[in-house]
Amino acid sequence: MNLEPVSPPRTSDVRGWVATRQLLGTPPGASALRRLKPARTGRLLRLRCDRSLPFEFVDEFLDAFLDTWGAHHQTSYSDYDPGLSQIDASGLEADARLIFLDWRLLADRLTPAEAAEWVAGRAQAAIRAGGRRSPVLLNNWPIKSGDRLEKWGRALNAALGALPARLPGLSLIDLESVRAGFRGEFFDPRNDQVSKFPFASGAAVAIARHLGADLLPSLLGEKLKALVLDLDDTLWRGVLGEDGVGGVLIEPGHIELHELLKALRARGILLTLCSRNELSDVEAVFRSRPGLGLALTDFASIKVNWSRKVDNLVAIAADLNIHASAMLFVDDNDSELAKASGAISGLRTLLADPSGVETASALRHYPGLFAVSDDSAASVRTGDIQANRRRQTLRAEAGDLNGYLAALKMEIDLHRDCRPHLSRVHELSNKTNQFNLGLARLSASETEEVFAPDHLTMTVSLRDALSDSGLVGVLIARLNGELATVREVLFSCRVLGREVETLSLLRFCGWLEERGARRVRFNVVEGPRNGPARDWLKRFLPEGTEAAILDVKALAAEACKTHPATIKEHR
Amino acid sequence: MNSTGNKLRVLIAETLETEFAPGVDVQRASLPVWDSLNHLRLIMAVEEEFGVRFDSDEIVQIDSLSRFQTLLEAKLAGLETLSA
Repeated sequence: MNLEPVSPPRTSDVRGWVATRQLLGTPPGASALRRLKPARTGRLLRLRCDRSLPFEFVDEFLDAFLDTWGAHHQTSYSDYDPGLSQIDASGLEADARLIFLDWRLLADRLTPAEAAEWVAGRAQAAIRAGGRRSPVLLNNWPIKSGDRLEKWGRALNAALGALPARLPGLSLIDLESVRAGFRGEFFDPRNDQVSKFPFASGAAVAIARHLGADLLPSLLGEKLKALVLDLDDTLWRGVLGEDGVGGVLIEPGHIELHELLKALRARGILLTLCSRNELSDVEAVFRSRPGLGLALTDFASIKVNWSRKVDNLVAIAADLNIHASAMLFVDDNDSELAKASGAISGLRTLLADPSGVETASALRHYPGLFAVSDDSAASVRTGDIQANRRRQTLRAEAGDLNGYLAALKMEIDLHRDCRPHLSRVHELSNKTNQFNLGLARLSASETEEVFAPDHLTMTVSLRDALSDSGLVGVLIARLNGELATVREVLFSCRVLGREVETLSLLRFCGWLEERGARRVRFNVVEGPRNGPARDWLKRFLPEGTEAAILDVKALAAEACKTHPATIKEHR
Repeated sequence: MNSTGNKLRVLIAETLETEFAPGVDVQRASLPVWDSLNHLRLIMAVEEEFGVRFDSDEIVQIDSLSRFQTLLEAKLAGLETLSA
């Protein structure tokens, strides 16, 4: 056991952790929030708001939530204009564009379908005005039971709910789900009478949280990929080593937390364990306590031992092949949080509440966890990472690389310009860090362009004897005569080390030649974490970023001439 | 000015992010920052701070700090009566 002295966390750190947990989970009232006066440091987000509903009541609380992920904002406003006529004004630089509408103004004039079609046109104009890079956020309408607009509002919300799938780059500010989750009176007719703002002040805070902690970090910040969870006084109450397998308590707050964790896992967030305990004791709890809503197989990596947590966190990041800044460490021990955040750059931390209640409510709105869209690789991710451990064993047993690759029985599918893969291409562009050559971070709207006639896009699926990894890679080129510019090469970190990327490059070069290209230029952007992708490219372009396709092909063919994978092309 | 008045004065100054000369009444019409949006923010802040609730007519009537104080004190006195 490690007996090194523990340096206590600073009081300000502890206060900060508790305050952040409470702010995200159960925000204080408007006055208390106003007094917080967040630092307004870090990343500046420029928001543009076109509106027919006062956004100022929400705006004033945004920085409190943006501050939790190191951002602050400034908003430029259109005039009050139900027609949104200024929405395509040029020269307005913005990181995100908000359309904040008082839908009641249209209810007597348009059917819900007509209203949705009209706003779809205006949203498209906003997407264009943002150069297809800035996300556009549009509010739906909270339903007031018994209100004369209830039926109209429900039909409107259904029609608006279908728009993001049709208009890449558009996301919904889901006021109806904010209302449904709000405790207290969401509407305030007095505010409506005085300022045409129909919501209560607490509702304004809840809307600010939805924007500042759910939507904006997921659209503009770096997403979290994994939760690293302690056990004692985090997933249950009590200390297993002292209270015993039957002595730890699983209370309603823990059950709520376990359900939330299951839901996050189903959405593609990896769950991992990091606990100082005897593994056999932990296995006994998971085996024998029916109240526990989780199984050990739900965790992609398990580090239950007496090593330092900092070391285990580093090992978990290595297991998952992700950067530690994509992990959130949840632990009830402030000293552990302090040591971990001091030792691991970028690691995010959440102080667990021993009852589970506040942990669950804070995780519901923790920046970087909100799903703006479905994660199409969610169902395969945990199993694939668990299979990676078996692959490591296989690699050690096989002796050489070729023997290992042969044992895997890899099957690779290469899809040409497959538009149904659009949302996965968008995901990979925004989620991959290590194998992301151009760091283009394509917006949803820009991802549409990669299926245009002047482009060639290869999407790559992989399965082997141990798991189905799903759609794991993308190569995107724009063609101009004999020159092909490879805008982006993306591969999931789950599949690196098996030369899938090299096999794909070899076939991609062939496809480019078929389209008349003779030279290839790679868009390479140096980022803090994409060294693996840049190093890989140097194997085929030892100097510079442009070469004859024949030369690149020759080096790629040499690199994988004995690769035993079965490859199928789908055109 | 009594403690309610002082507290109200500080709250208004904080919410409007401005400063007032001590002892001087503040007229809404003469203070551009006290616009309709900020008026509502003020009402919300005062309601939350003092645990009272103004009706729509009262919200419209509030046109100065002194008027605000009078209405607030009446509300607080009503609360005290109710709880007595």
